[in-house]
Formats: sequence, C-alpha cells, structure tokens
Amino acid sequence: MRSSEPLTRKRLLAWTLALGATLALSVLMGVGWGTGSLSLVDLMPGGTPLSEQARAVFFDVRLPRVLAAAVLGGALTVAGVVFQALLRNPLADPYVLGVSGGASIGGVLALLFGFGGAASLLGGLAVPSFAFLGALGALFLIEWVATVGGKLTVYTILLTGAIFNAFAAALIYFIQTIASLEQLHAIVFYLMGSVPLLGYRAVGFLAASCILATVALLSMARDYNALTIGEEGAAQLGVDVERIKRRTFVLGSLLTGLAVSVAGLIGFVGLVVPHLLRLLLGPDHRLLLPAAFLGGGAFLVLADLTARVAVAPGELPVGVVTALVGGPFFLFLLRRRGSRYDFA
Amino acid sequence: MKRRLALLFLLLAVGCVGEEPRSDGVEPEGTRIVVMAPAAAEVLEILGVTDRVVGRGDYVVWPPALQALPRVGAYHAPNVETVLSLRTTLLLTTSSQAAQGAHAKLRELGIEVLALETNTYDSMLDSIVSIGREVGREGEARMAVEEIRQEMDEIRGLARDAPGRRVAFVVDRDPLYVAGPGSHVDEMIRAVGGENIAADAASDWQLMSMEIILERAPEVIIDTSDNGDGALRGRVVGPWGRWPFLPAVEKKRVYWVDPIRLVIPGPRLPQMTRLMGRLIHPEVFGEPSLADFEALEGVERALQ
Amino acid sequence: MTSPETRGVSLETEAVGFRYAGEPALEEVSLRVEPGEVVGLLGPNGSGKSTLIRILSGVLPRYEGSARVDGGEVRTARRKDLAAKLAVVPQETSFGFPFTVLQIVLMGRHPHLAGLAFETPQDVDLARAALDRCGAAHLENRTIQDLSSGERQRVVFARALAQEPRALLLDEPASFLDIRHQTELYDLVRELAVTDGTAVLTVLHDLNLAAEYCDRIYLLREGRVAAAGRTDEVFTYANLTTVFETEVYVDTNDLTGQLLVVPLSGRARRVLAEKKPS
Repeated sequence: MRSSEPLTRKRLLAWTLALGATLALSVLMGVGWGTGSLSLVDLMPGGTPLSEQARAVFFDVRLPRVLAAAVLGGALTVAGVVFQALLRNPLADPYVLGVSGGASIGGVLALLFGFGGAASLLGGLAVPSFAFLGALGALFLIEWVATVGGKLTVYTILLTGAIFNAFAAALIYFIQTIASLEQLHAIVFYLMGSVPLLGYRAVGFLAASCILATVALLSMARDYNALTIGEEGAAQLGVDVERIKRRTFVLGSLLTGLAVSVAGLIGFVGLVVPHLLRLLLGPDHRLLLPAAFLGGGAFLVLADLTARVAVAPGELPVGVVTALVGGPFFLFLLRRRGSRYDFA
Repeated sequence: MKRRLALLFLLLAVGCVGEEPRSDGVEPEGTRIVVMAPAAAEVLEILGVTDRVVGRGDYVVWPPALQALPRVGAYHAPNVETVLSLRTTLLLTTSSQAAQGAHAKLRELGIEVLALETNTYDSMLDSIVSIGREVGREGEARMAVEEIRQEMDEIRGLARDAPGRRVAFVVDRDPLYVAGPGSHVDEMIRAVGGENIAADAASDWQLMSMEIILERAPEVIIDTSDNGDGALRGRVVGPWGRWPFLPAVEKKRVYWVDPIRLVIPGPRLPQMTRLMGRLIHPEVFGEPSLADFEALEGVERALQ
Repeated sequence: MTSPETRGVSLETEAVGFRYAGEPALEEVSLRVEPGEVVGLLGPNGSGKSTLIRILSGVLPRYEGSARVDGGEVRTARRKDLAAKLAVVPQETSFGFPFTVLQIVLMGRHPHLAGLAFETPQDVDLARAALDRCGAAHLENRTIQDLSSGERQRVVFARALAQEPRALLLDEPASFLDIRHQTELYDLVRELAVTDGTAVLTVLHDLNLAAEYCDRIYLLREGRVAAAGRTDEVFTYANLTTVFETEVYVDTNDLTGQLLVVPLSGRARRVLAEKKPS
C-alpha cells in the first residue's frame, strides 16, 4: 500500500478527498441513525414533510452532536499526531502532557460548585469554561517548569505532565469523597467522556478554533518529519527546533484542552487513530496531519453513533465505546509492531 | 487527612451524645440504632421507635426528629469508628457494594447490620416488615404495610378509568437520566394511570438520549433535576420550552419538584403516589398545591 | 589543490571553548579547514571532539570564542542558511518512526525547500544519486528501522550528500562499517573534497584511516589542541604516545609509502621490554 515514492501534491489531494468523503459519509450516518426510529429515509425529499418534532430530532439533537463529534475527534487525533512527533514516540497520547489533568480539575470543580445542572437542558457552558481555564493553567505551569535555560526539554515536559496528571487524579478523588451523590454522579460521567449536546454557535466556535490550530500545526509538517530523527539531527537539517517544540506544545495542548473541556476524557482516540493512519498512509506528516483531522473526526462520529444506538433507548458515554474498541485494538497493534519502536 | 476528619467526627459524635437533652434513650431491649437509609428512617418514625436512634447517615434528612443526631457518613461509606463510639447495636442501611467491607467489620464487632433493598414497591414493603421485626414491632409493621397496600389499591381504583398519559420523569439533566422500569417511581406512575415513556429501558435509572424523549412526545414532564439555591419549583415550563412542540410543553404540564417528594422511596408511598397522581391526572386526584413541589419542611437542602 | 570553481566553504574556529555544567570540555581551540581539504580530528575519548563538531553545527550556541562557517558566526546564523551549506553525519542515529530509506535521504533536501513544499523530481533524483554513491541504492524502499547499523550509517551519509553541502562534518561516520565499506565511504569523502571542493572535518579513531585520507590532522587532548599540521608531521611517536597515553609503533608502509601506526598490545610491550638490553 505504501510506496516509497515521496509525497506528491496529487497523492495528498487524493487522500484528503477520500477521507473527507469518509467524514461526510459518517456524518450522514450519524444523522441518519439514532436512539429513536427516525432515519435518513425521513429526510428524503418528496416524502411527508417533517413534523416539528422530527425536525428537532434531526437538526437540534443529532446534527449538532454529530458535528461536535467530528470536530472533537479531529482535534484529539491531530493533538495525538503532533505530540507523538514532539516526544518522538508513536505511543504517546494527547493526555500524557498534563493539560487534560488541568481541564479535568476545572470541570470537576465546576460540577462541585453546582454549575453542572441548572442552566439549560443542553448543559450550560460553565463546566467547559472552567475546564478550559484549568487546561490553560496547566499549560502555563508545565511550560514554565519544563523550560530550562530557555529551552523546552521534552523529557521534562513528559515528567512534569505525568506528575501533574497524578496530582490532578488525586485531587479529583478527594473531590469525589466530599461531593454529594448527585454531584458524584455528574463528575464520574464527565470524566468518562461523552460528546456533549452543544448549540450550533458553540460547535461553530469549537470548529473554528480547532481548524485554526490544525492549520497552524500543518505549517510545521515538514519539520515534524525532520524532528523524528532527533532534535540535534533536525537542527542540523535547518529546523528551528525550539520554536517548533514550543508552538507544538502550546497548540497541541490547546486542542486537547478544548476537547477535554467540553467532552471530558474520551480515551484512545488520540492514540489509536494516529497509529491506524500511519499504518495506512505512512509517517509523512504533510499527509498525516490533514488525514488526522478528517479521519479522527470520522472515527469519533462513528464511535458516537455506536454509543447512541448500542443500548437504545438508553445511551452509552462515547468514552466507553472508544475504550472498549481502542484498548484491545491498541494491544494488537503493539504486539504486531511493538519491537520496532525506539523509545529514545 | 481522612483520619483527622474521622477523629473530628468522633469528637463531635461524643460531644453530641453528651449534650442530648432527652433521657439516655436505652429501651429495656437496649437497642441503639444508627439509620443510614432515608426510607428506613421514615419507617422507624411510623413504628414509633425514633427515640432508639442514636446516629444517622449523611443522607437521612427526614424525619425532623433525627436531624440533630450525629452523622456517621454516607451509606456507601459508613464511618466504623463513629458507629462504634455511639455504642450502636443495630445499623439500618441500604444494600451497597461499596460498604460491604465496613458492614463485615461491624458484624465482626458484634453490631447487627440490616442492609435493605428499597428500590421497588415490593421490596419497600418487605423492608418495613424486616425493620419491624428487628425492633420488636413486627405487628405494627405488618399493619402499616397492609394499610399501604389498601391505600395503593384505592389509588389504583381511582385511576382505573383515566386515559393513559405519557410521562417523562427526569432525575438528572446533563447527563440526562430518567426513571426506568423497576424503579418505585415507575410503579407510582403506573399506579396513577400514567405511561412511563422509558418503560422499555434497560435499568431502573436510565441514561437516556434527548432524541427518545422528543420522539415519544411526553404529555407530562416531571423534572427533579434542579436543586441547590434558587432551584426551579412548581408548574413552569423552564428550559423545556426549547421544544415547544412537545405536548407537555404545549399544555404547560411541566412540573419541577424537589426530589425528596418523589425520588427517595419510603413508607410515605401512598402520599407520594397521590402527589404523582395530582401531577399526572389532576382531574382525578386534584390539582397540585404549591407545597407539593417544595422540599419537606425542615429538610437540609444540601445532601452533604 | 582547490580549483577556482569549487563550491566549498571554509570552517574555522578561533579560541573556541565550551563548558558542560561548569566543567570545561574545550579550551582555546583554534582550527581551520579550507575548501577541498579533508582534515582529521583525533584524540582520546572525552577530549572534546564531538563537542567541537556540535559547536560548528550550531547545536551548542553557548560557546566561548568564535566559530565560523563560510565566514559567518555560527551562533548568529539562521538555521536554514547554515544547514544549506553544512551537513553533519552524526555518530549514532535512532529512528522512532517507520520512514523509508528514500524518505530519510530526502530529508536532506529540507534546508533547500520552503514552507510546506513538496520535493520535486529533481530532489528525488538527487536523493537517489546520493544513495547510489553510498552503495545503498538497493535499500531505497526498505524501512529505516529494519536496517543494520552499518546500512543505516550509509543511509545517513547519503542524506548528508543530498543536502549538497559545501562543508561536511563527520563524527566517526564509518565506525560500524566493514573495511570495504569504510574504504568506499572515505573514498567518497575524498572525492567530494577534491572534485566539489567540499571542506571536510572528520572525527575518527582509526589512525591508519586518518593517515590514508586526511590532509591535515588536529590532535585534541583534554579539550586543547595538542598538535596540528600535516599528517606526517603530527603522527609522530612522541605526539601519539603523549596524547593517547599508550605505546605505538610508527612506520611507513612498504607498499604505498603511507604512514603506518600500530598500537602496541600489552603482550607486545612485554616482549619489547625483554628485548631491551638495559
């Protein structure tokens, strides 16, 4: 499947179109299926006109949620790809750098102080806002700690992130012991990770931010290729390593922070999808990054669809689906190619 | 940190016990009861043995007679030290996986632990009898159960000819949880002639998608999810107004009720069921009054 | 030695020094490599050779003194400009991602491409030619992680070639290669110097290889230049035994007239000692 011919504009375009089509198809499926009985057939022109209720189901409940899933999946996968390049390790996932710990603390605190419930049936934006502040806090803290002599040391980022995540987990456990039963429920659910039901404006904002961040990261695609041979090697090839590291850390963390703020900790997307794409498309980041955004989106849309229909009329949180699918799949991948990877 | 909290609890507990104005309430039988389950607490009141209660769980906020008693933790995590310090002989609680270790420990130390199932109508009634047996009031308990059964039959009779009405009983929003089959809420709904739109759900408290609710077009929405300061109460559409095509919204049959009125099971089942009836079939049971939506008087609002 | 049309650029350092966490690794080192020269950098372990390479390639900007490539101070040069002129072949390489050999070699074109550019067919031809010159053309489609260390070394060298460097820094580029490939590689190095005028500074341990291929030698000891000059001037018994602190035997080999250096083993030293009358 993978030739050794270098990437050409044509190949990039072909794959972008293919993955874009996959995403579009997934969105269509996501809107066409759901817990209820309404399906795509009802949307066909020429049939009976949609009742107000059906319209609400399609356009107020399903579509915004599917779009949110697409954006979140894309954001998490792109963050996964760039963090794997930054850490020179294909087994890194976007939560490893600690920003997700900060976002979780923010979100859980918001739930503890009672912002989780009342605002509206679609969930207030208080929890995501708090969570995002938490993410930013973590980002600044970790960057500050890990910058030694003006240089961002990858090893230190990793270590700081791990410690911060552990601290966040401990804090959240403590909060869980003092929370009321109701709050506890909301907290556990938030942490499991699920695609929220946001309004179009919120989804639009989310999409715009994530796309902007992805485009900014895309401009560094060739540098990521070079970075895989090591920081010194990349520097010797002309890469401004410090600038790349810093921008990647900040933008990747913003993407992760945004995703965790609104959706909680949806696991495995940022780990498994980059892997799959790399197997399919090769490690060239010029193709991998746009593919990550589109493919990751399709992945989460389909996972969310599964979460919605698997136990109808009930629902599963999507984090459960991604973990159940992603976990074993990841073990399988590891066995297949594990020996190859240099943990340098 | 937890040890210090527990120690603090201990001190408080001892202090409280010392300050109680009533007589050292030790019946001839000598039982000292700690009650962790709100439903069980109410049963004790009905059976007239609240004077034997020496401690309560965090969630036991009713009846008022027990509110001043020392707290021993949540039902899923009872504080063994505090329970011991109160010289407890009987612990009444709901069955909980998380508390099994604590329960075993207490049994080892000679304290009787009665872990009850109170989720369904039938199990609730059985619990009343079990508690009655434990405190030597089995006769009174059976009588109370019989009264409850009769009243429930009466209620069912009233509702027999009423047209079925689709009801959505919302327990929590974000995530959206509704009462499903098997819960006592579901039984109450059916008893008063309502149709639970989540009747085919998999569990008694079900995570539901908004889509289903929209599709099944409930005619009555009872929402107990809003709590805390300034919570919505009464017959008001509130956030449900976003879906104006729902029959419940059109007819403004959206009710915001304090969960203690309907969600926490207990021997007040008939009164709770009548309240449910007032919300679902007011033409049969009468219109609800303002007080129906509020928490019971004197209840600590925050369940902490 | 160099013709007027050469593309090579010079490398020089002037009183360059460096400290790792307060410990001096290099002090007052001055050297110069002219276009078309192959200059060897030798010395015992820890004498600062790799540090010097890293300073010249721009990886360690906090050096004392001056280090210049094509007259421009390394410290202040733009990364890309530097990489367009200077290629480095490091001692050790590790690859965490499954790129193919051709893709790795094509990375050498990085300093010559702008932004999100794609490699042109000319770039690809250049890369292939570089691979061919290194005797690794047959490895083109293999995944880099599957190669032996010797094969990897040749690929990395090819990548350096693909950079079209005007100066070349080599840090033990042949350490994993068998004698045939060692010779091929250094033949190629000499060819680059002579034909293209590339300035080459190479670190090596093999004294005979150095004697065979280097025009001039710098001997480093404890971070300082202990000896410098033409190979035959520097490779004397006195210099070598002082710097390397071991017994050697220096001679000219009968076949080619080149210097021959033989480190003496413990056994040989004992035998010699026995032979001496006093």
